[in-house]
Amino acid sequence: MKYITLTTLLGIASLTGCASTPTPPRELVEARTTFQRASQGPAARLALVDLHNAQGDLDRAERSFTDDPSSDVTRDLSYVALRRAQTVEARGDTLQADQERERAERDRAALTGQQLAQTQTALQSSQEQLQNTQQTVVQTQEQLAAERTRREAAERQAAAALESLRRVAAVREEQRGTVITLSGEVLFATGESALLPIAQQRLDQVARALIDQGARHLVVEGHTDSRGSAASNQALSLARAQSVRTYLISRGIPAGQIEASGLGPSRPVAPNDTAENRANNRRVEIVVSPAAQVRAAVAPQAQPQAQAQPQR
Amino acid sequence: MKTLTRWIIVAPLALAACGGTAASTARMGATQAAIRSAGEVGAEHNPTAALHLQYAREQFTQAEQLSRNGEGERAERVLARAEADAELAMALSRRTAAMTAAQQATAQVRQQAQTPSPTTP
Repeated sequence: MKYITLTTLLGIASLTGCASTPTPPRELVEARTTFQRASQGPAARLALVDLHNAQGDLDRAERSFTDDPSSDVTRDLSYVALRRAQTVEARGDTLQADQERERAERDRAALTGQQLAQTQTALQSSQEQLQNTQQTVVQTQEQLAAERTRREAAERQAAAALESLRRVAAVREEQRGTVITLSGEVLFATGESALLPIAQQRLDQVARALIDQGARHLVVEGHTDSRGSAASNQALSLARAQSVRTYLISRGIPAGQIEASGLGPSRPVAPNDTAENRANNRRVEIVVSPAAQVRAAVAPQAQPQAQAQPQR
Repeated sequence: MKTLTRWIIVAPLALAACGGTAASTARMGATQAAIRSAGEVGAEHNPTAALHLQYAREQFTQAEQLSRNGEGERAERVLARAEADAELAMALSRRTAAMTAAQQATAQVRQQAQTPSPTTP
């Protein structure tokens, strides 16, 4: 009974198989789909030989299916066709990825070259700027050295001028400036305001020294002793100061830089009780304003001199 | 039904055993080489590729058994399946590596392009 049933079932199945289209194995269905996808993907451009071989595998499976749809051979060939289609699809993707990588590497190399060129340009520019800076530094150093040389020369000239002054007059530093004291006995005859010939020689030296020092503003002060009337002493001191001013102007000191002032006996340097003291009070002082360039050079050396007795 | 099934399976084997053919040595060697190559490109580190490599190895073992049993023709077909799986494992492994390399290269270009260039002072 069991065999009859089986035979009957097989017979029916056999008849049904002949009458209708056989169902392809799952592997063949997947192989068709996968091959279709692969032939529309990167493999169509990049893996033509592999695609062609996969086509051959699929064709063999299809022929086997036509000849013997349900055979193991058909299933095995379909299996192989599916794997070949999957493989060619993967190879297409691989080759496309390789191309993308190569393109990216080319782009990167180009970018690197571009950035390198920019870096070199920047470096070159920095080097040029550095050279310019170095040149500027060298020029500045040269200017500083020249300035130092000029200043040293000026200081030497000022020192020499001061030394020259000290030979003809007493020099001292006060708050109002450098005070050059010339004895009245040397400059003028008694009661006179005209310069003696010897006075002119001394004033020549004083004028040269003042010019060498670069004195900018001078005040010539005339002083007398206390003998005689105050008015006459005042007038005499002013006349003497003006004589000195006039002479200094004649020796090259600009008129606008020099003033004359008569102070009479109002500022004695000693009591008018002896002939020597009175002689010391009769004097002309040239006050060089503190702005004079010589002041800095004079100050350290002049201080002790300020205490000394003025020369006659 | 069970008896019929057993008959369908056993009969060809018996016939083949009687026929007594083995799979070709060349085919065996080619399949073995494909499996070895797939292992060398790192298929075992890629899950899908590793699965197909496993199929290939199992089918190769099956083919060896069939060959020993004299089922040369069937063994050849199973070897073809094994070889196809091994080659797929290799292709999948290479695809992963190629895509990773492409992504890295693209990312490097993008990163380098965003790196500020030195400017002229």
